[in-house]
Amino acid sequence: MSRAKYVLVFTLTVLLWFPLFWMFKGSFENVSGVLSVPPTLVPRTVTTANYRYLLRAAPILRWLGNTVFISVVSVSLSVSVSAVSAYAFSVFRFRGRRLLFWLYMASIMFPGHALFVPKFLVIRGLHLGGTRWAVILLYLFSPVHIYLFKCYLDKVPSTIRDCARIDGAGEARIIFQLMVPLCLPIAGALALFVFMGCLQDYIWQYLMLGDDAKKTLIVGIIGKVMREARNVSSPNPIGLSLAGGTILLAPLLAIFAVFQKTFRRGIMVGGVRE
Amino acid sequence: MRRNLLLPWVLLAPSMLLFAVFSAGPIVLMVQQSFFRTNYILSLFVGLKNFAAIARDELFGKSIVNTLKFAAILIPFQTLVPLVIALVVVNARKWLQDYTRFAFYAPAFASGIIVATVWQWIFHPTEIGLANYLLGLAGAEPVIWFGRQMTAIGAICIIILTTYIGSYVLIYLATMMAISPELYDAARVDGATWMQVRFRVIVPMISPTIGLVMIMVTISAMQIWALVFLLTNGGPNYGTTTMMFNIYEEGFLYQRYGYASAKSFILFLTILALVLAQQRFRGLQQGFRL
Repeated sequence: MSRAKYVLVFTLTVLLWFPLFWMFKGSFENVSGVLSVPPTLVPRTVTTANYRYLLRAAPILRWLGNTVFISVVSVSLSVSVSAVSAYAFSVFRFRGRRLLFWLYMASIMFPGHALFVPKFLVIRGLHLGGTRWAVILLYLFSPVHIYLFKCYLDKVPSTIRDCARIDGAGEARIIFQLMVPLCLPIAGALALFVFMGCLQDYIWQYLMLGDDAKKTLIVGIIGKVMREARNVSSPNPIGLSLAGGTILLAPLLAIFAVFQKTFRRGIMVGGVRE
Repeated sequence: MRRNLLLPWVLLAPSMLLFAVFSAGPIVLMVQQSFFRTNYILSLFVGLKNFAAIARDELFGKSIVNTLKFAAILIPFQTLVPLVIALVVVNARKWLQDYTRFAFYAPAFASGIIVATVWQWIFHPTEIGLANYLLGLAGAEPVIWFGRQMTAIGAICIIILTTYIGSYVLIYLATMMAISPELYDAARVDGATWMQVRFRVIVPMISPTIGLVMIMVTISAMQIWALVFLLTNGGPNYGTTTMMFNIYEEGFLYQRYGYASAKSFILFLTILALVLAQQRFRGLQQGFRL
């Protein structure tokens, strides 16, 4: 049985990583390389032409700027909203607390994408259609993060707060000088989750951002390489697709490699996307 | 525990506002719009006419069948294959577990849309596509992957499976780690075999997690849209037009918001029914207890 274990794990590794490797390898090849039959595992000639073409033919830097803007604003606002909500649920006992918490948790199960037409109508009603704020607003409320933050706060003994209060600290002082430093680890983890979400999400960003100048990296690059694939005069549609995919993938894998542990701890409730 | 009447509500105001506007609000709006004919300019109450039209809408009927085909492949595969992998790897040497966690989880960060850039060429209809090249080596004719419904659905499912399976392996492993090791030892002392430890001890212990994964997989399988949109555009001959894809066309291309909302309502109810039918909902409520 023990040999079967290793065979299974390594076969699956090859299966799961091969497309990623194939993307990376092909992105550095010229037309004859990506079209070669039989295909080769190692590129015959290595070129950065695909990347240079993409940088020239598409406003990549502008899209990157949009992605950075959306990420920074979403991360800071979303973590703040989750933090104050979790604090209220964890520290205070008030009427309606149970009902509200139940509603939030039930909303995790709402099929989010199925609601995109009414969400679009809401955004349009707010006169935000086509703006980067439309995307940001849709990312801000995340009940899973409120739940994770609340679990973290629940483990902080209430005696700490009581001691501070006896020493004469007000609620504001307790929050800023005691709770904020205590909560930095969980806030950092949630910031990372929101950030990854901003880099990965295609559907909302595509539906909300039609204007080329407002597009994010993922919407812009996917759209560009799909257009190139249908464009007969494109120099190397396959290589360009793969270069575009690699540009989108590389930061995600790098962030994952660095913060592996954080993601693993968060996966039980927060790590799975559709 | 503080008793303060105002402060908790001040702290909860931002999330309550967002919940009302972007979570609960859209559901109310969806139900309301189902009874209206709404486009860019006007909004007219039409009663149940949208639903009557849906009953006659052959393409939507077909999209329901297509969505269920995707679900019938994705739900069992995404629930059970990761479970089997996790059962094999659990209790392995530490380095193999660490390795599995990295190697299987990292590709899940790629997101289906990003890897579609490479898969669309792997499934190229001629032998420059890797899939057809490999088939050629085995002596088979090239397959026009996105030219027939069966192969198109299969190809999209392969992309989803290879991308996301690893994250479910990790969920299972995380739950299995929480089982007390004494339980394994006790089972082994009593003479349980490798298989018995897994199917009589581990599987029953983690059954709430299996239910949870099944619910997550169901919800995402029923909402397949983006890969269809990028790779097949609903074709061939509407063979991959899913409910979400059909709703996207009605809502965004033709701007029939009322009609699209009525269809969303039906999709919403379908997902809800499927989730409730998987009786493990109980397990989830326990997981999120206040």
